[in-house]
Amino acid sequence: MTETNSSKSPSLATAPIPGQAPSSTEELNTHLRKDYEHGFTTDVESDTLPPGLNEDVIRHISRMKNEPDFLLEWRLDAYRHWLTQRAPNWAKLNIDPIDYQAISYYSAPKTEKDGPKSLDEVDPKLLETYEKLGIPLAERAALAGVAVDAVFDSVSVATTFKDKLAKEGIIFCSFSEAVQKHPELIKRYLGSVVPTTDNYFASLNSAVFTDGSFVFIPKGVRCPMELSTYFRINAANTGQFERTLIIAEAGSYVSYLEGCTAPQRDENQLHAAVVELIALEDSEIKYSTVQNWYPGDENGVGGIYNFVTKRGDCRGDHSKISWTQVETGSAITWKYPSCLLRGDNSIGEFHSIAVTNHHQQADTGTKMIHLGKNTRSTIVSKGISAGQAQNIYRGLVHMGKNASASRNHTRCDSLLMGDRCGAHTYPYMEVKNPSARVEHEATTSRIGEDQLFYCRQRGISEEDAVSMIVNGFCKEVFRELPMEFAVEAQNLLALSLEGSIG
Amino acid sequence: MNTAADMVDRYCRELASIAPTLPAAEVPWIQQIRNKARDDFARLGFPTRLQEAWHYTNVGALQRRFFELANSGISVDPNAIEPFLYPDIDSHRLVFINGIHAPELSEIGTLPDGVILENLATTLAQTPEQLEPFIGGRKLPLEHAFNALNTALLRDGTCLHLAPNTQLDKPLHLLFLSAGEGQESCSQPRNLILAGAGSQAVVLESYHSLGEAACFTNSCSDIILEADAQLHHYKLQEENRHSYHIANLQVQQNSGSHFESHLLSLGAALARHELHVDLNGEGAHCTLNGLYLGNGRQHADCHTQVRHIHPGTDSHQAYKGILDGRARGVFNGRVYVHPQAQQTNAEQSNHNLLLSANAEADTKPELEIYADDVRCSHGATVGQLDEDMIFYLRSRGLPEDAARGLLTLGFARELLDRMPLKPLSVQLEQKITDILSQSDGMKSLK
Repeated sequence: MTETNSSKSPSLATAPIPGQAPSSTEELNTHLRKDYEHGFTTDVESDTLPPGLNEDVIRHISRMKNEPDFLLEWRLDAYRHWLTQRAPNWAKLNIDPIDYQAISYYSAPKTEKDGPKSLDEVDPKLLETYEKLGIPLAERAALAGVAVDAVFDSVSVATTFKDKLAKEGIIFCSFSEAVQKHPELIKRYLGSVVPTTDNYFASLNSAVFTDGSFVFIPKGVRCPMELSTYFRINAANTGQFERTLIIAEAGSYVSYLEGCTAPQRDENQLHAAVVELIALEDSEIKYSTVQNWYPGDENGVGGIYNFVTKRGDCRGDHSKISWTQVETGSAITWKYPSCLLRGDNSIGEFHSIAVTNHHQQADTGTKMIHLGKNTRSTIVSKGISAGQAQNIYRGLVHMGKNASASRNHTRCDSLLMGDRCGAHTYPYMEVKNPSARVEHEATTSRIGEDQLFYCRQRGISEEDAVSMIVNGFCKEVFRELPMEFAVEAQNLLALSLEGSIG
Repeated sequence: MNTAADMVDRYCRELASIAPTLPAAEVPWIQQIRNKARDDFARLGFPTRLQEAWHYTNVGALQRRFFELANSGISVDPNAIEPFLYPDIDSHRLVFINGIHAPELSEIGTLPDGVILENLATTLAQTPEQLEPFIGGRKLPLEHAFNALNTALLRDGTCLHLAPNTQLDKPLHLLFLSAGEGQESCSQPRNLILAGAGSQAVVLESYHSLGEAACFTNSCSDIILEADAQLHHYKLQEENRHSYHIANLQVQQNSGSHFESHLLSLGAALARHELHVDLNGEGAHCTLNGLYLGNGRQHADCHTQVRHIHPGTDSHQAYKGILDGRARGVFNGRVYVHPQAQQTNAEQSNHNLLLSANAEADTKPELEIYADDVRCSHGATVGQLDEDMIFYLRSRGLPEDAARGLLTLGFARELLDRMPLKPLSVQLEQKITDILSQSDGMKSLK
């Protein structure tokens, strides 16, 4: 791999540093012009950019991906806006400062040759975890990053799926591929739910995202399979700034699963993804997430920062978006999958399990913005805190002036395991319509001595009893997960809390 | 054109200029506290909506007009206070006009042994050391702008001191009247209550306006309950619809003590009630009830914060709002459980009734819990009257507006019924009925 010849672009050193925007627009403009003048020369072939962020880096990413001009402009707009923003600090999180200039924003995907040749070369600890989670044998190799050609038949499996989807007119591909093949759809929908100016991390993502997934379900089509199945086998290295865009046309249905229960090895500390869902009339999108990134060690050293902006837009009448998430990984999870209920009679749902152990922190919840008439939303959040972890539910339910006869029900329960952890609930309810109804209830407790005693008395070990009670506590959410993942997620929960009792 | 900073500056200059005329101005430590508070106020300025605690309440109006701090010495005819008294309740009474004690209107009467009740200016002038437990150093610096403003003035108010095991024989009625005669006046009372071990008292704070002039009330009350002390605190806020009412009640509770608060907020253009309770000893428990009514363009904001610091403490909060017209009601309740506060029991509820298309309710019940052996729950609802209930009443021959009126009143009565001081709750119910009967669709309540 060749490094970019930085001497050819003196602008790298003089580029404005994010967070310290130039004092005047004039100065900024000077910088912009300068950057443009000395921009990258096309003759430099590079696979990996040196750490740092400026407009040249963005131009480079865009050119490497052979993107149309509108997308480059869109990225640059986002970047320029990002420079004017400051990192938010309102969450109840302890975050070490992030050096955005120390991150490399582009590296070509690793080739298959870099991976282990077979399962024998994979870390036995990882294999043990797969065993415990009950992941099918055929998938283990793919998850461990074993070179694809060594994986049992996976290519052909993926191809079969692809044919099946294409027959229905469904587009399901990587984001880069969609940019090449369907630029009109990208232009129309990208940023229409999460604009480039939305928030600090969304702006950053918009400027530098490298890849992600794109799903388009045409009118009246019911996607014949859980898109997860395909995704899991084909899990691409999508990098730390992932962009997902899902469009469900009128009357369509899709169920999508992101992430997986298996622990993922990842070198990047900051993950700032953006997910946009668009549901037109009578359509339904079901988005499930299982997140199990490296949470750091027992002492809270290392671990991933997972700062994600996820938002669904129920644009059409009678549309439905439902979010289900199981969050067990990451040192810090900071995300609020939201629903904009714009269409009349639209429905938003949020089902969440957030587990934090050791020194993990999670500040998560949802926003339900009711704008249309007779819109309904349900929020079920289950937080489990162990060790010295902090688990926060923060959610907004907003009933707009026109949201007549709309309803919301929120239930958030927290379970505390250990006397040094914390569970916090910050619900916001704003109601501007008298016929709207909003209900919120929350409880915080620990596992009851009597519940434990009851199980122990019947000969169930303490560890099993706890796992049983915790699973019961989360049952409502597990029910929402696609079948095959529900089982794995339950095992994952037990794994995450291993050793936190007794 | 005044900016917020100019206004803060103006208050600070005014405070500095009247400082020498304030009671106990010559006592160095009191002077130091006032100066420190003034600096804090200058530093903090008026809160803005960017601050989380003021997200739903905009005090911009207070930054655009200046309310005179100087004592203008308005005299009030004794008959004028008649409507604000409770003939059915035999009480000790202190009356304040624009935050300044009016001895000619007050009626302290005979006090039981061991009870000291006087106005704060007297305490400041004669025995300032009595204030030590309340303002002596421990609370500085002040991170609350309005509290700082009040402390910077520290002029008058109430000082109630109960010796251990004494009982205040009759309720204490603190009547605060705002009266602006040609000028926009402000009232900044400071009430200090120290209840010794095992003592008991009932205190009623009521806030009213004389006339229709806009006034600014910035009241602070500090209450300390020693072991096993009991205090029932009632507060009625019924200022005119042009006024601004900001109140800050801080309670420190020791083991076994019981604090009960009943709040009824009816008046003012903007009312903000803050209630901070610290449960510092085993067996300390508090009950906080509140009811806020809003109509027209009124804004009522109730903020509570209960901190469970010590193991084995209980708190119960129940707040309700009835909002009509273009009114906005805000509830922000926080329960904090300290890591060592095991066996905490905390309950919190907030229910709102929206009666009109333009009313708004914002509610934010928060739990912040760092201990595991706790039972904490909260619930909040916003909605309208249950149609089934209305149908039930109508099927029995009641006209619709009567049914709505009855159910709305019933919604409010749940909190009034919890007041142990019955003669008061009866009168308050009458006030609520009068207000509700002005709403469309409930005329029949008259």
